[in-house]
Amino acid sequence: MAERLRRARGSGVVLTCWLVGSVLLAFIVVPLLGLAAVQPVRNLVRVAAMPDVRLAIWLSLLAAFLTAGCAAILGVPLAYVLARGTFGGRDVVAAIVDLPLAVPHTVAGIALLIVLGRQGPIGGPIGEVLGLRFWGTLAGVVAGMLFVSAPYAVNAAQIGFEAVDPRLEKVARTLGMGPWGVLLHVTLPLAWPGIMTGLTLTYARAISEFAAVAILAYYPMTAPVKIYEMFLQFGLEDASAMALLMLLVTLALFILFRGLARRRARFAGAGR
Amino acid sequence: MLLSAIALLAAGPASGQTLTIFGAGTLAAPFRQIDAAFEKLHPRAVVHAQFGGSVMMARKITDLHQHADVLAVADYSVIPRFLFGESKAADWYVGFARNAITFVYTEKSKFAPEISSANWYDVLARPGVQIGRSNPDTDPSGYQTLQMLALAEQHYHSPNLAAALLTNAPRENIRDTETELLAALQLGQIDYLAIYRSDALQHHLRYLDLPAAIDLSDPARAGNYATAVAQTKNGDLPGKPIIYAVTVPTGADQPELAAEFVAFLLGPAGQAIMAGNGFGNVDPADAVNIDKVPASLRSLVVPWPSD
Repeated sequence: MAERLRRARGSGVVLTCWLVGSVLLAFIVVPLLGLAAVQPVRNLVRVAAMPDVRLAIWLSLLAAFLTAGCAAILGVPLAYVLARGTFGGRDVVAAIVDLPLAVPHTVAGIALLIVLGRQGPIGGPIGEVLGLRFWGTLAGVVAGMLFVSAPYAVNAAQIGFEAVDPRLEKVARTLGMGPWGVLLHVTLPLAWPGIMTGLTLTYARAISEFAAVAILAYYPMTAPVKIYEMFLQFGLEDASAMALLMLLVTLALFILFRGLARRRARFAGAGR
Repeated sequence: MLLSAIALLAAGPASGQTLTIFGAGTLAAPFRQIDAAFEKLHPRAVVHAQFGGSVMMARKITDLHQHADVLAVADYSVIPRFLFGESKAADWYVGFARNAITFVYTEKSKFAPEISSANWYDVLARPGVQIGRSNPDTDPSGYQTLQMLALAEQHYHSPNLAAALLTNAPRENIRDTETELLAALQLGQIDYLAIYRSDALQHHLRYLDLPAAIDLSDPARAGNYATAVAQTKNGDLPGKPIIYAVTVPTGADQPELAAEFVAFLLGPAGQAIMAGNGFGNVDPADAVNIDKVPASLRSLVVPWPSD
C-alpha cells in the first residue's frame, strides 16, 4: 500500500515535469515545424540535388567532426585537471574556458585572424614552415568552430569526471593498477556519458557557427554560409529548404550520438 | 512578479513616431548623421536604422515581410528587380547619390609605395598580391568590380587585364559584402580591396583615383558603361553608373514621416552630409515612376533620364 502510494506520488512529479517540460519542447519544435510546414517535399529534393549544397553540408559535417576531435584531444585533459586538480587559480582557468561563450562571434573571428592570419604571430610562421594556412581553408573553418564550441566539451567532461567517485580510483590502485591504467580503465569509462554529451554539444555548436567562421573562411562554404548566400541569391524558399535539410541530417546524427553515449554508459555500468 | 517580467519583455519602443530605415551598408555613416539631424527637426520622431547588403535589405521586406518606412540601396536596379514585381512592395524610386568603385590599400600593402593611378593594373596583377572583393552573385560591389575591370580592359587597351588581376583575387578573398574585408585589409591578410570611394574616405584609407571612364561614377557615360558585362549566377549584368536610390515601400507604417525624411535627404542639408562622406550628388534627383512619387516630394525631383 505504502509502496503504491509512493509510486503514485512519484508519477505525479514526473507528470508535472512532463507538463512543464513540454512547454519548452514545444517552444523548440514549433518554430522548426513551421520551417518544415512551408516546405513542399519536392523543394527539399530539388535543393538536396544541388552539388554545392551537398558539398557545403559535407564540409560542415566534416569540419564539426574534426572540431569535436580537437576538443576531445585537447579539452578532455583540461577537464580532468579542472575536476581533479586542487591547484590555485583553478577558478581563473575555468573562467577563461568559459570566455568564448561571452565573446561576440564576429570579434572571435577577428581575434583569430589577428593571430592566425598571413601576418599574424602564429599564422605567419606556421604558413611559412608547415604551409598550413587558415585563410579560406578547412583549417580556418575548424579554428573558428573550435574557438566558440570548446567550452561545451570542457565543461561537460569536467562534470563527468567530478561524478566519478575518487574511492573507486583508489580501490583500483590498491588492486595494483598503475595511474594511467586507472585513468583508461576506470575513470574514462565512468566519465564517458559526460564526455560524450560535451562532444555532442561541441559538434552542435560547431556546425551552427556562422560569424566566426565567415571571417576566416567564407569559401570553402560551410552550410550556414551557404544558407545565407542562398537567401541573398534565391530568397527564403531555397534557403529554408537547405536549412531544413541540414536540420534533418543533424537530428539523425544527434540521435545516433545519444544512443552511442547511452550504450557505452551501460557497458561501464555492467563492468562495475 | 511574473506578470511584470512579461510586461517588461513585451514593452515596445517608447511612444512617439518610430521611423524604420533599411539602408545599404555603405550608407551607415552618412545616414547616422542625417538621422540625428532629422530627429532634431522632428523631436517626436525616433529613427531606427539598420544597415546591410542592399539585396539583404530588399529581401527583408519582400521575403521576410518586415516593415520599413524608408529603403535606400546602393544600386538603384535592386528596387525594380525585387520590389516592383509580384511583391508590389514599392512603385517608385529616386536616385539621390553617386559613388565610384576603386581599390583601397594601407601603407603595409605589397607595392604600396609604387602604386599609382597610372600603373595600378600592372601592380595588382603581380605575383603575391592579395586582392579582396565581394561576392558578385549577391552583392552590387561584387559585380561592379567585374564591370570596372572590363571597362579598364577597353580603356587601357589591355585585353587580359581582368583575368590577370582576378588570379590575385581567388575565392578565399571573397566575402558577402566588401566591408567585411576591412579588418583583413588592416591586418595585412589582403593587400588591396575593391570598395566604394565613400568607404575609402570614411575609413581614412589610401585609394586609387581611377578615371571616370571606368569607375562607374558618371551618369553621362551610362551608354559606355553598359558595354562592360559581368557574368554572375544571376545572369549577365551590364555596367551601370553607381546611383543610390531611395523609396518609401508600400507597406510603410509611417508614409508621411518617411516622405519628410526623403525630402530632408534630397534637400541641401541631406546632400551636404552625403558629399561630406565622399558621395557624389544627383542634382536634381531623378525619379522613376514620377507619378507615383508622394506629392510632397514631386517638386524636388525630375523624371529619370532615359538612356
